[in-house]
Amino acid sequence: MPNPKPPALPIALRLALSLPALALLAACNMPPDQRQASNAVVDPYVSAPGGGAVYRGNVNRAGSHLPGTPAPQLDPGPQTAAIAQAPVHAVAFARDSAALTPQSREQLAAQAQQLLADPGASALIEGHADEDGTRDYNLALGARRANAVREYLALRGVEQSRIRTISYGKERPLEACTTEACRDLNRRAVTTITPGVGV
Amino acid sequence: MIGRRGFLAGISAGALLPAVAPGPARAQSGPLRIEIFDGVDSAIPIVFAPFETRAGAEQAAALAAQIASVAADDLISSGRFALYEAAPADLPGSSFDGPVAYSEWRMTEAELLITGAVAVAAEQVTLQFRLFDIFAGQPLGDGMQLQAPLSGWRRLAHKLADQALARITGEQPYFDSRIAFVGRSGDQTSPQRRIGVMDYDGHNVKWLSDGEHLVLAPRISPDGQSVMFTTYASGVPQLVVVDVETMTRRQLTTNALAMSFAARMSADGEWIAFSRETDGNTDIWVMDRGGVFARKLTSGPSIDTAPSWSPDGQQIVFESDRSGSPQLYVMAADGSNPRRISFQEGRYGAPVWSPRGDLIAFTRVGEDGARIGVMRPDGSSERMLSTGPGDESPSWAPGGRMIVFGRQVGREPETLNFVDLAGRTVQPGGEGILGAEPYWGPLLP
Repeated sequence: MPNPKPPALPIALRLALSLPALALLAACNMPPDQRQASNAVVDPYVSAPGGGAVYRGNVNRAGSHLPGTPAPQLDPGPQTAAIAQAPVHAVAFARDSAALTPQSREQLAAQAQQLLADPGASALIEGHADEDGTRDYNLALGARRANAVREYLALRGVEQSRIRTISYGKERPLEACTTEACRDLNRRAVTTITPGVGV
Repeated sequence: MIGRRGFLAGISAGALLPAVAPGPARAQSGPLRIEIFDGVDSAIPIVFAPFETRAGAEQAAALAAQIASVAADDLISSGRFALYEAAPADLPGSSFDGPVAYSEWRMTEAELLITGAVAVAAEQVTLQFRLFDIFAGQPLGDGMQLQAPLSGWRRLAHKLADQALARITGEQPYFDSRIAFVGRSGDQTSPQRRIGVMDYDGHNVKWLSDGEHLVLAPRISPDGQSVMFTTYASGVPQLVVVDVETMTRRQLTTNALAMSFAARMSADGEWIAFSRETDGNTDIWVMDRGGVFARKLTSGPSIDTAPSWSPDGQQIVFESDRSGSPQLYVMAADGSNPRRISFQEGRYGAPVWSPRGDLIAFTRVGEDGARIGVMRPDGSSERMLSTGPGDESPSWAPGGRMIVFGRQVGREPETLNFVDLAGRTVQPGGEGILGAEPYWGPLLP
């Protein structure tokens, strides 16, 4: 079954992201469904004949290690780069909140303009949460955030039927975080606009 | 279970064994006497006599040692037993069908003696074992004979350990069981995730999804034959059930305009409580196991999620932020009379009702991070069991005395961890089984 892919970024938004975005794409900052695994999917635990599980992973790859050995220390990673290159079409939220800040409303007003200018265009809004809190709660919170964005776009005149929402909770963070600044960016709603036919 | 192929290798519970020939009469004999001292919690010393081989020569000899070793690991990992180890030459002589020289075994200071014999023939392995109470100088229950396909030898060891734990403590054991989990390859921001099931000690992993779509929250059915989970395969989170043996998959929810997630089955397997989100609002619903009839149990703008059934199916505990922050509530199974049960500092969630009905496990997020705790269903006697700071997704072992949970620290991959009701951390199968969102399935028949 083919993996349903979300609509590609429209030309206007692609230009806005331009050069920094090339590094951005490499840093896996794309809408989640467009991410490809950098390595082929490998099952690190393979059952051996006789009932044992034989580890066939690569301990030198980040995130893999044999049971019984301490996990390797990973270097802090490009957090500052990710913060500087957050998608311009994402709005941020406070902890546990789905309220839109004045800055968010400005960004969304611009999105609404884009959608009103292209009557055939549609939008997908993904709601996300940071790692804090339980998985189920964060799935629901992400949905609240996505819906808040949808309601605001509706207020600006976009028909609700043109807007689809989905939540990924805390399952698709921009970055695995150890700082508050990093977590702030994970609390977001990301809008992807698909242009209508003929644009 | 007899005759099933595949990972759930059938075990034939054979006959109980005839008693060994009695040794010379002792001056004192009587029933096992247990004295319980307040606050004393010491490990019971156990000793394995070297297992004999009956047929199959080298292969049986190797398996005999492995079976004893796995059973010993099980019992020690429970935190209730200590292993008396010695070279075979230093142990009292024993023969599986012969009398037991209790006075000699008493020199080891072990209280429980386990003897066994292994035979291999025609791709089948047969284990016979006997348990002896050295202290009282008599057998502890009947001997047993079990048979399994060669690939299922580990289950024989787990069944042996289950018998030892149950006979000594009187509690329901849990070693011959499977845990479902979410396995991850790739890094944390771009993960490939798959639903897997494995022996509770991490062996015999079998994957139930292909990693192409985001998957969450696996739940083994009460009969152990299927796993329900949430998948983004259709673009929207939906509930599916997959048969572990045949791998056939059945869709439980199909409403494309609503997210369905956070599902749990009732103990009799008849009902599924789950969360459904529409237009930004999440409520708890219940449906029959076929997914035909669904009914909303909560209402209002708060987030109501993570429902878990009481073992008698009469009540549901869940997570709700109707008070302003995520807390635990208990309501009747028809949605009536919701009442809050969590009141200490912090945000509470991911509640799971113990199979014994006496406790509810949960995740509490506070100043000290996220930790696993338990409380009574009326909210009293709350205490924390795990140390955190990144613990969540608790799941009860059969018997309700041990909890498995996920722990994620910093950027490292999530691992499965175990803690018992005394707060002891145990490590079946060694440290750091990679995985998240564990669900401890039933004891296998």
